Amino acid sequence: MAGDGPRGGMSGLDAALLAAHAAGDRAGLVRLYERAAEGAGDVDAACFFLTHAYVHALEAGDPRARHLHRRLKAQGREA
Amino acid sequence: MTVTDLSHVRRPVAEARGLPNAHYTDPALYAEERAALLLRQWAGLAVAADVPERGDAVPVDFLGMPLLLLRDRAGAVRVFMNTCRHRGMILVSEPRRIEGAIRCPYHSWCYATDGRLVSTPHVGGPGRNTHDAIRREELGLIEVPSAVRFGVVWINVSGDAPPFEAAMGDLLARWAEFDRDWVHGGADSRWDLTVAANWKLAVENYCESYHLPWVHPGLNSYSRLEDHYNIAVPGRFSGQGTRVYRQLRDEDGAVFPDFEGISAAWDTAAEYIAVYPNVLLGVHRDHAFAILLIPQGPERTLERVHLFYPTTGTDAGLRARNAEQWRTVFAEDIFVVEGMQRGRHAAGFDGGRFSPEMDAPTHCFHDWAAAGLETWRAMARAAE
Repeated sequence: MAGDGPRGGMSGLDAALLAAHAAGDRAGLVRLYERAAEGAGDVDAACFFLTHAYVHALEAGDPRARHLHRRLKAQGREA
Repeated sequence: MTVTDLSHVRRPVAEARGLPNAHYTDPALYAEERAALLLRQWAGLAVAADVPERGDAVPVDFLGMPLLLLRDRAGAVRVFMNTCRHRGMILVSEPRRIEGAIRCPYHSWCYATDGRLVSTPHVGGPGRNTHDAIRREELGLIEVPSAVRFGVVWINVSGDAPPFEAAMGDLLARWAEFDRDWVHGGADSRWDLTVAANWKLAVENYCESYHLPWVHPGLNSYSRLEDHYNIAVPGRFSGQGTRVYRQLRDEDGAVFPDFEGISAAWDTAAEYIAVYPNVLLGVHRDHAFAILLIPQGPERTLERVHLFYPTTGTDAGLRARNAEQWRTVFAEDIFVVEGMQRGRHAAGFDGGRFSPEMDAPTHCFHDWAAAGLETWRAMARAAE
């Protein structure tokens, strides 16, 4: 997500993530981090964002945790 | 380290003296008793009603240790050290509902409500959530052995007490008719008292009836001294019973329902037992209570009072009256335990004497404490 991520200046996605963090909106965090992963430039960056989506889903008991876990595991990034 | 002579405490009641003053005032002896008497037994931590729903989590400080009381996904009450296995961060700071996993607020290691470590984000580098050196199966939350009985969550922090059922066998047999789910009376049936006294003084005062006519004249108007009997099971518990328990009635004569199947033997009987080290229980045909003594230091104790009933849906007005009645009784004891605490600063006071007739339950407690301390000291010597 070159030019559209945390290191590339404030984007709409950054702002939405910060707002979701500030509001404790865990469902929003899952959605936004997954979206960040879709826009990531490489597998490592994608897995970084997927990890955050997964952790917030786990904490919230959000059923999306299951497919996020599968995606990470497929990349050898989760047990 | 202060080492006290306990030999006189363990003499027969007619000859014995109580624990020396230092056991009520000296921080070193408080620390010794914490290890020898409070952590190595089944101690009362909380009530199961503190975590009524699955996922409910309550951080509890117990003797300076951060514990996490929670009800897991399967509905079981569990107690863990409230500490992340990664860098030791406190996991849960406020009572709350865990919807999914317990996420450490520091680096987001996540634990299931049964304590399993389920996620270790970035532990192998960014976006890499595993590492051979971090074996999740070995890094679950540290669980404290616990049991729920008589509405109370009991814990054995050291993990080396006999199993709960064995350790409490005498009490479970004696009170088999009360060994069922107690229904907490709710917000109107719980309150805290903080007393400027060592925790043992609350036990000592609770387990004898000798003081009743002097300190609780209201109780004595119907429950006279001669209606009481002593209970003393060495090494386990002690207390008192009454043969003239009278049920609380409202203006219409309504009473609380009885515990299901309770025998006629309990029609007018009640018993009050101090379960060593720190749980004071009372049972009646139609209600029960538990007082958890949470030591806060050598000369300060938090008393958490909880009233229980046989069923849900008891009458709120009657519950309030019952709570008020017990509030009065327990408040009447405060000046005594605080007065004995001040008295323990008297140089030359030798631990005091016991009435062989009236103080056997109190001596039973002192004897238990002294025995536990002697065992602890022998273990320490053997380890040197």
